[in-house]
Amino acid sequence: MAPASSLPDLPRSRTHPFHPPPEYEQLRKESPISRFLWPNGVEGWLVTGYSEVRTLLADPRLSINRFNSPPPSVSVVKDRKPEAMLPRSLVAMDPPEHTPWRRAIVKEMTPRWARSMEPRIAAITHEYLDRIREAGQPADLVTDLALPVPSRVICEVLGVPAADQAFFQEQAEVRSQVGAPPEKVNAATTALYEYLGQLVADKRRTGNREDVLGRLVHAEIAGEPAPQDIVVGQAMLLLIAGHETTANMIGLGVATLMDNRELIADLADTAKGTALVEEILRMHAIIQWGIIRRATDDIDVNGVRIAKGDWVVCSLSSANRDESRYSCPHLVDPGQPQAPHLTFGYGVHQCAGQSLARTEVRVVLRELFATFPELRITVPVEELRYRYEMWVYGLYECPVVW
Amino acid sequence: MPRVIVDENRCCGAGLCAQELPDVFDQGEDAVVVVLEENPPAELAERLEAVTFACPSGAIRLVRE
Ligand code: HEM
Ligand code: SF4
Repeated sequence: MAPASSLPDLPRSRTHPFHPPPEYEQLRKESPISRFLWPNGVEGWLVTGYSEVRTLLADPRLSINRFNSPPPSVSVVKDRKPEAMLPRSLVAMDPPEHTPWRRAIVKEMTPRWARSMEPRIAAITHEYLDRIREAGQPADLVTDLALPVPSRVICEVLGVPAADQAFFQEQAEVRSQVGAPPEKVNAATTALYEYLGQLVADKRRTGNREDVLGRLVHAEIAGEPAPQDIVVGQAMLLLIAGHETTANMIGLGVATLMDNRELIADLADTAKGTALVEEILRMHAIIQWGIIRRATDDIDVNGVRIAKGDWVVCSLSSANRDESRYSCPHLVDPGQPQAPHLTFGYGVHQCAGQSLARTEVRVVLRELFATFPELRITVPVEELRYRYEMWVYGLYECPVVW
Repeated sequence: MPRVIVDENRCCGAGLCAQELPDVFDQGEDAVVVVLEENPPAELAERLEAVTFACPSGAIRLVRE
């Protein structure tokens, strides 16, 4: 048993499903970098201020590498067996190792490319909207639209056959459950890993360079041929990161617009729709507890000392509500002067798929409300089931009629 | 007007700059930032400041001589 901690427990109860725990407000004002005991018994810093989060995420002394020890977590499974070895990917690499991999991946997903994807995303969206109309009311937008559209898109981009997407959804869901039995998580990880290993090997063997995975497996990284196991790791990251996050953002976007119906019209215009989606993204930093780093050296910042080896969790959801940056931090107001939100993180790991995600959220919401202008959720948004205990926040279901 | 200077080694290629100010920035090989207009017109000053702030890797600098 570790000695009992004298630190306060991490505040983590929401009072409204759209807002982070109310304690964050006082923390931002009084101690934007402070230490807490996390539910799994690990101590770690919680960073809640906008400028503090940015400063620390840009600091090269904070590593994304976990050095094989358990990070702060909201999972209460304390004696967790070691997780199945995850293949390495961008989110386990610091610069300089990170840099060439990052470039090989982001060059596939530039803002210009994301714009060119708009018609394809709209076409996929309409396939699912047609099915929803045919199946009749009510529909669950999470399973019938928000999950399958980003899944189809990322599968096509990477070069994963669409026929396998149900399998992916299932495995990704298991992996992201806080408190899921470790055996289940390990089985899901292994299943995904084996599938992708096969796919990547096929692309290498057949010389396929027609999709992102095909190009990645034939790429040179820092002057060497890309090792196949790391390509599989990156593939796994792209699939998981590119699917569930966007799906949850779409669900929360619909819920948010229920209370702000006058904003729906903005979606029809690209510039206004883009600004609206930025506000929806700001309101919902769905990596809800924040992103985790580890100090590789002592860091003196704002009068506190983060010691070498300490865990640091940067709260994106708190930073996005910082009163010193936003005039109405808790309201959706596309007109307010915008400080860039931190929902996609900050620093060299800032989301590689952000341009695609922005386009997907905007196009799916636009086509949804263009097709069903009277769409509404069947219960008040406060009564929906939210993913409180999941690492990626969102809705479990979104029952709608039109 | 400030001069635009970028550090290609720092750039992590998210492309925010090229999206916001396509006449000033582009992304070249490997998505790394390329400056198209080193001395942008004065009316872009505010948006240049915004992009410099938003850049996730601190790769953009505005130098005033
Ligand atoms: C609204 C949807 C999304 C949100 C909120 C989101 C959020 C994030 C955040 C916060 C990070 C930083 C993690 C860290 O620094 O520890 C990240 C990284 C990443 N995301 Fe996203 N993401 C979204 C969609 C996507 C999509 C669609 C893709 C892929 C197509 C994607 C691929 C990635 C990758 C590859 C990284 C790792 C980048 C690196 O380490 O250099 N994400 N994302
Ligand atoms: S915004 Fe910064 S990191 Fe992104 S492409 Fe431009 S210079 Fe590079």
